[in-house]
Amino acid sequence: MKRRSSRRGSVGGGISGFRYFCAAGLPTWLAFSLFGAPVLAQSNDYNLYGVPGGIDMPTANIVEDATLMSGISHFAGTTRVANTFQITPRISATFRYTGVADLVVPGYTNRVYYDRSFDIRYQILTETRTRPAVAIGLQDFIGTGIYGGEYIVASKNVTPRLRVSAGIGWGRLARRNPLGSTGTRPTGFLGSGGIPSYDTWFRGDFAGFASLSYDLTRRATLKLEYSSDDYRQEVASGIMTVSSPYNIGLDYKLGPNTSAGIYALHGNEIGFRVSIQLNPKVPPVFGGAETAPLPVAVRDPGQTRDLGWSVDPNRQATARQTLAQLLDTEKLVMEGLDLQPRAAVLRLRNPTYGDTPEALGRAARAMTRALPASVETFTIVPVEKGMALSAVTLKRSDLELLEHEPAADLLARTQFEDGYGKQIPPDSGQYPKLTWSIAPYLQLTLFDPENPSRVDTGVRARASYSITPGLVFSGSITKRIGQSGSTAPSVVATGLPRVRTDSQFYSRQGDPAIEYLQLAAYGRPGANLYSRVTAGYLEAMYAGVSGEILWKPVNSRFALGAEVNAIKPRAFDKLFDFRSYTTTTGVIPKVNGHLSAYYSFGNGYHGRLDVGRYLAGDYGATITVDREFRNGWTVGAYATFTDASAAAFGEGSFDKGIRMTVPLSWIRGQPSRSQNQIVLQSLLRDGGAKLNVNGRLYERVRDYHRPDVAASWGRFWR
Amino acid sequence: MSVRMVRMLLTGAACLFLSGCGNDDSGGAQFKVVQEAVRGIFVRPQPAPAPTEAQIAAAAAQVLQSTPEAVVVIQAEQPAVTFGAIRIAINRRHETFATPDRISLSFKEGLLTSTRGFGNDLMSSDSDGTRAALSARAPGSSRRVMRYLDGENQIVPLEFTCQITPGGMRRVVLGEINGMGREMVEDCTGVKRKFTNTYVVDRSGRILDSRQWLSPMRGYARIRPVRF
Repeated sequence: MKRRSSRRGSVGGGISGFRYFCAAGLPTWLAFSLFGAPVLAQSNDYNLYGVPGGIDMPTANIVEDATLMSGISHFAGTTRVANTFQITPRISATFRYTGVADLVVPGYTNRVYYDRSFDIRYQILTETRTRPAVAIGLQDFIGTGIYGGEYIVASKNVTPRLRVSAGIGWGRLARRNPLGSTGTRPTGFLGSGGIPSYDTWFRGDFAGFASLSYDLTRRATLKLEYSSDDYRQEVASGIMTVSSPYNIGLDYKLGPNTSAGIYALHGNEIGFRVSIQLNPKVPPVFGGAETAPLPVAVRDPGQTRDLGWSVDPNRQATARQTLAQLLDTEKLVMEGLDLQPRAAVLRLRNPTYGDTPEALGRAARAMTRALPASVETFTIVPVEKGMALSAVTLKRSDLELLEHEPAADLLARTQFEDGYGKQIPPDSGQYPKLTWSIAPYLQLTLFDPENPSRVDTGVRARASYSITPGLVFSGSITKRIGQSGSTAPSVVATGLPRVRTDSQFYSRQGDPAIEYLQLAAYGRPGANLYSRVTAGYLEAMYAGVSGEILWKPVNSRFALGAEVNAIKPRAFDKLFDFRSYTTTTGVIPKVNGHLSAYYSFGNGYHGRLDVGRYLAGDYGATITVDREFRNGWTVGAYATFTDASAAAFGEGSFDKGIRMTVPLSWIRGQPSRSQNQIVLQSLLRDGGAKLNVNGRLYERVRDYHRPDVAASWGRFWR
Repeated sequence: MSVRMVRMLLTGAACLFLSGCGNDDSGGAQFKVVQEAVRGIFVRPQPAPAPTEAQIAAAAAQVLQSTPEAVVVIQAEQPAVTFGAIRIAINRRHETFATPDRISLSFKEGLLTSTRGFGNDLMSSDSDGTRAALSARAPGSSRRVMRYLDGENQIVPLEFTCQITPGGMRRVVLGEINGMGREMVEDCTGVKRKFTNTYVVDRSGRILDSRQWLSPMRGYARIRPVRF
């Protein structure tokens, strides 16, 4: 597994609200904007909603596949922060967080009305010389929100510089001069909100909108639009005045990744917009900037028959020592070596390379330089937590022959086998082993309705003591230093035992806090099987025992897993004490667990299905789909459906969220196994909640299996 | 306070306020990124002034004394850096040269076939047609394939069609190299880009001096053998 530099925190701070859980989101985005190296065809195409559009209205434009956009816009007390991802060449999704100061909303008491919304859009037709591009979109389609609307829009370049768009909209986009109507648009929302409001889609009045964009220079674009949104709710709240349906403005490409716009809106208002964008497919440095590997050392033809070394302990010891040193130079660890006259097995630990083929390639080349010439077969057994994850066998003569050939040639001759039974014991002196770190941390919590952005800073001390390779005692302690914008906890209504909605008490009272303190035993109980048993303080809110078993054949893109947890709730101070299973709204069940199925579709998409009993005792399933880039980036979404009713769940109706993994190596251009994981959870509720135990098996195991290794095999010779 | 205590306190302060400490470098990894980014803003790498021919000759002489192996001087253009590289491996017709700070370049009889450690590295290439035309010191054409890693670690082959044309004679003097060679120009055109390599080839087909294209990001480098 690529080591998580931040533990996914679905506990800690704040209550309902979208939460950018990431110890690292901020530095990541900061780094993108500062390094600024990836050059994209930056477009001026995003509008005030953060979707491809004119000024406030959408267009049928699309951006390059996989583009991630983060943008902020502001006008008349309205601030929108939007993240848009081009999921496929034609489908894009937007998550938006909006704050409208002084908006009058019945039943809402805060001065600023905070609202989160999701959009999805699909380009039905691509543009050709004779026909326009056509897109269909759902705006704020999961919903309790104020922006609900649907549209169909067409866009066409009539000259190379002038682009014309026209469309019809429903809902929010049909507030001015309706052209007609398709049925009656229901008001209110389904369940307790958070469910796609399909009953309203393309219902009610519809109205027309249009926009023009003209590229004045390569950087500047002039835009003019006719808006079908009259902002009546904002006008009624006295926030803005609207005297014209026309908006006009200028967009400007500030740099390779940033663009900004300034607009005159609705006759009386001024608005502006800034966006940055990046594409996971476009790292700052292609292929990384790390130092060169050692080249293959080619044997003299005569040498291979010399077996004299095999009876000479000194020459054997020298070979071992040389290999250990060479691997050390490559920041790899030789944990053991079985040296036979014609074959060698290397027990390899890789603390450095997130792209595992590079670790294998560097280890194999080091072997050509260190091992006696008669050794023809190299088997590398990558080991993590004592588990042999695979056995990768290469012929030394193939390495010699194919060093300067296309990487695929060697892949065709490389054999992947289950590591079970192929493991050799570690050398004496490798274990026990202690690793530790003391470092500052930064945790950013965004989109909490009470407190849209909060930053916690502090110091985290972590240690991991491997008593044997597969038996690891580990812990993490944090001490907060600063916290911006702490708010008093408020009680969230729930119809389930408070398995997660109490998390605010943990984050307030847990200082200093033991994040986890546990003993974990990893093993290989049989062919294709991997196991984990963890006991102790497993996560911020729960202690207990967690057992997991994973079935994953080394050449398969499919895996099955099972996990059972027996838990005990921890005290709010996050130290050693416990609290009662009984909460104000019910008793927390002692046992939960899941059966999981994992499948890598092989085309960059990965699916996962978990079925089982969740923390609050509700039964159900979680579906997760990720787009996985072969450089470690992932962008995905999940949804959990359980037998907890929408009413018992509360606002949002069911648990869902967006997740993203950013590998550090991508940002720095240097190999690393660290990555930042960002989870945008819809609302932290008690239904569909899972235990956050450390060190689950699947991500740890799959990295060394053939499908994953083959996916980035080009790195073998890097 | 003893020196030891001061040192401990300083170490502690470093842990808290810099990027952390320990033997597990994943701790504080995000801070390292921020640190590097901030440093990137304030500390602009100063491009070293290009060394003079006399300086290159002097450095080459020094390297020659330190090793019996083959040596080349590489003058990269993006960024502009000059370094010496010593041959560290021979694999049939391929020779690999490396610098002390671990950048390596591989050549097949003087034609660059791969680089490592530059960033946007040339992973492998097929340029036998060019080599044949250069050896003949006669006009010719070749098809070249140069392979790079894309942003998703996939090998992307760039294909070029190249025309090789001979030019005038030139003398090349550096280190142990002192000879006359014919200038050869190789014009390569691919789908999206083109490049022009130049070589000075002696009578036995050896490349005495050349300027060869590395990659889209790194542009060209002048490659000057000092000892074969």
